[in-house]
Amino acid sequence: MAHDNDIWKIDKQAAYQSEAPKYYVRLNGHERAQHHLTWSTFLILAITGFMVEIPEEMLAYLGSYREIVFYWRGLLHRIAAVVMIFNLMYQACYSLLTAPGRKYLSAILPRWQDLLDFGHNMSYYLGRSHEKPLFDRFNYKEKLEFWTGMMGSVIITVTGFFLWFEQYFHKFLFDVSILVHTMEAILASSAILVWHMYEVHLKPGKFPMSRIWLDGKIPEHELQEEHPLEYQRIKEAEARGELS
Amino acid sequence: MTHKPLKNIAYIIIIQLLFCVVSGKLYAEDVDNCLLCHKYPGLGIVDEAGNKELYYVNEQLYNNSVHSTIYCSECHPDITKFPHPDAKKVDCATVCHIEDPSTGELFSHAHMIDDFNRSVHGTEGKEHPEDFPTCTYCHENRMFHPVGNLSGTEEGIAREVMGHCYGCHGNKDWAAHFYKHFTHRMHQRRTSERMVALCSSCHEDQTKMERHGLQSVSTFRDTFHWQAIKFQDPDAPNCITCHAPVGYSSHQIMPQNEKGSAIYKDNLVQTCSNQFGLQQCHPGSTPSFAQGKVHPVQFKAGFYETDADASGEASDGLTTFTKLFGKGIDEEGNRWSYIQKLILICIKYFYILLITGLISFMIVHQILDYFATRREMHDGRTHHGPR
Repeated sequence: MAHDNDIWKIDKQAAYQSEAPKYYVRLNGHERAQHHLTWSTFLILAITGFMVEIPEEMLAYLGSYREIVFYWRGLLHRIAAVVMIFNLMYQACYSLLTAPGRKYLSAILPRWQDLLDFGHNMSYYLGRSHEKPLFDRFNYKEKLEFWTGMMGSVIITVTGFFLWFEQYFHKFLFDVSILVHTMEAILASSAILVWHMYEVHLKPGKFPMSRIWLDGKIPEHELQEEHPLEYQRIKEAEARGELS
Repeated sequence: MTHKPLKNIAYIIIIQLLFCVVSGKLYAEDVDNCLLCHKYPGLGIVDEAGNKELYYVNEQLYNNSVHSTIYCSECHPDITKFPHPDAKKVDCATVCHIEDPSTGELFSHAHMIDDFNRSVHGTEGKEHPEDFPTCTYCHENRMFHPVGNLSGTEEGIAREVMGHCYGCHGNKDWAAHFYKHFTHRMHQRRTSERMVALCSSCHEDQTKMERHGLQSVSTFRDTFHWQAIKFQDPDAPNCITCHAPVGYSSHQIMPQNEKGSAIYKDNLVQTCSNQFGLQQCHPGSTPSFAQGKVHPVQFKAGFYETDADASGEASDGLTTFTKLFGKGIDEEGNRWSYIQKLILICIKYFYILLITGLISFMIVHQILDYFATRREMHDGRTHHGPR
């Protein structure tokens, strides 16, 4: 059992400071790097991608800079796309080839319990239940975001590839790709705006943002409240002396 | 900056030369004395329909235009007396009295008009001839607009090149005129945006297009080609780039199903790759890439196009959808193209449902979460908030 929980190392520096709250590592260095690559490429891709939908009247303000803007738009979009694809491969290798990665993957796999948690949470939101569901390391919201994001990334990569090398493929593939690529982009961007921005920035108590994405650390009380099952497991492991 | 005054002086000299009527008939002398009246800016009439017609001729502009060496009476041979209320519109096929230096024959646009009349834009045997473009619909009496200064990016006359002309040709006016005549034709004068605007002025008119069994091309503005034009990408294709590419002429545009058309199915690979053009658009394009419709299959308005156009009925998305399911074969009897369209429509509706469904769910979920979190904070059951 010991190796199961060894990623939940207590941050020693924080833990031994007097009065300092205790922190646990929620995202390790690899995972934070993956997140940084994801958000930065996503931002560039969304901006440079939706730029082609700017109405003509608004473009007139750019005047003679339109041409250079268009050139850099296309170039940046492709560079960011390549970085994004490498990041996907990085994530795949990490999840399959490293021990903490495999642990992360198994924790984020959808389970029947997630559906029950969702029902339970809804009744809690609506005041029919007085207790929140007890979430594990990843709750159903995080799993939904992760897996829709993954699927979206794969779809947008494949369609983007057909758009980039259009002349080698059937015209119909191009038509499907440009439709799917745009629709998927609209879906992903709106989902990020509504789902993720609320969860980590706008939710009462989180504003301006959760710190996890920067240093990967989650305070003990937050872990206890948001991921009680995981917290319980860590505490048990600590009690057995398996974690230092 | 230092050469600016010199340049201005050169311009003044050239403009002076332009306005001096000199021997060699480079600028039409007003032999018929038409400008006696037509020089007045307000000269014109209001016809019975209330349309204003302006008959003013700006001599300076005219003398700098492509027709500057032509006498008034050469294009208006029917006007022989004053006043002339029954003056006809100019027939561009009229033979004018200038000589084509390449053949020695009198010049005329007649052969271009013959080509044009045989093209898809010719009116012979067609209903609603008033819908078709005339010569002057596309060709204004444009000003000479020579290529930019070779040592800079400003427009104007490249004096360096003019110097080469003056070296051999004794008649400087002739040299300047020839230079302008030539450079004027060396590059596209209409920007791609203006080219699209010109063609769309008719081809986006649904009622007009329906009269001739055509579809409106409004969906061109959904394509990536237009996105590039919108950003003024110099490589972006306008209408002419594909419908009259290298080897074709804009006067000889043919219907899609004729072999002389650049978008005839056997010519499409060549048209998409444009391998003999300055810009090779899709090098290595395959026949399967260079087929299908370029305009009407995008994610915006395009799907509704065919049926609404063909039936002429007002059509919302749903009736189009049911009609398509019922129809099965498109106007060319091509089942594969029907299936393609159907697949695209299904994907589009799937995504519309997915986006609206998922995002609405997310919004409702987060609103509920907001109030639940506020409740927790109020009850002191959470670490969130001030602590």
